[in-house]
Amino acid sequence: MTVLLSVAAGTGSALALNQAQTAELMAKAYVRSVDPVQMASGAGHEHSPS
Amino acid sequence: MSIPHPKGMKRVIFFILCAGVGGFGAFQITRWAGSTPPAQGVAPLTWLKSEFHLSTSQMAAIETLHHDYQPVCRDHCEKIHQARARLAAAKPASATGEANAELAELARVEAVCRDATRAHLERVAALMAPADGARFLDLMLPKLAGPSADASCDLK
Repeated sequence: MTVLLSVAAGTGSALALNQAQTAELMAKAYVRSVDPVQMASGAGHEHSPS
Repeated sequence: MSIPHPKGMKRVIFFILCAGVGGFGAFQITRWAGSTPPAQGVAPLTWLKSEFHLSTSQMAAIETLHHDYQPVCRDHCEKIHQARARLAAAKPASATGEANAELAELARVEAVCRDATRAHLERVAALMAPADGARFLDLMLPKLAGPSADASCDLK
């Protein structure tokens, strides 16, 4: 039982961490696609988040 | 207080080790399985739809907002490029009056662009459910570019 709980806790925390990292990466990509200040600094000019 | 039987102690230690190894293993496997870079292949708007629980009509309204914002964004981008080019031409390293004026102009243009982007994000958030909109702004606003105090660093 303890082992199962530990596995569940490990899986749950890893899933939460993965989701948070995905959200961070996608949010950065999204903001970069609508923020002209960042776009003007970068090499690529992708003016659409779609 | 009674001293635990050595065999019982070994059992407890064994279970603790198993739990630790199991939890750590599950954590590592789940992290590895979910480690595919999400930015590859998934468009930000597709992610937005699932992350902020957007309905089809909300999504359509946001897409329209983005479509309308594109020329504004492109125009702002162009103005920043022009302001940076003028600053580069004014030789910012020499700190002349002209360079300072161009630096101030660049800061002004960037502030206008930043305000427009912030307003755009707030309009997008307003189309979401209040809780999702607040979470959207909490996630997005800190990622907006700050004032480029060292704007000359970008100039080559």
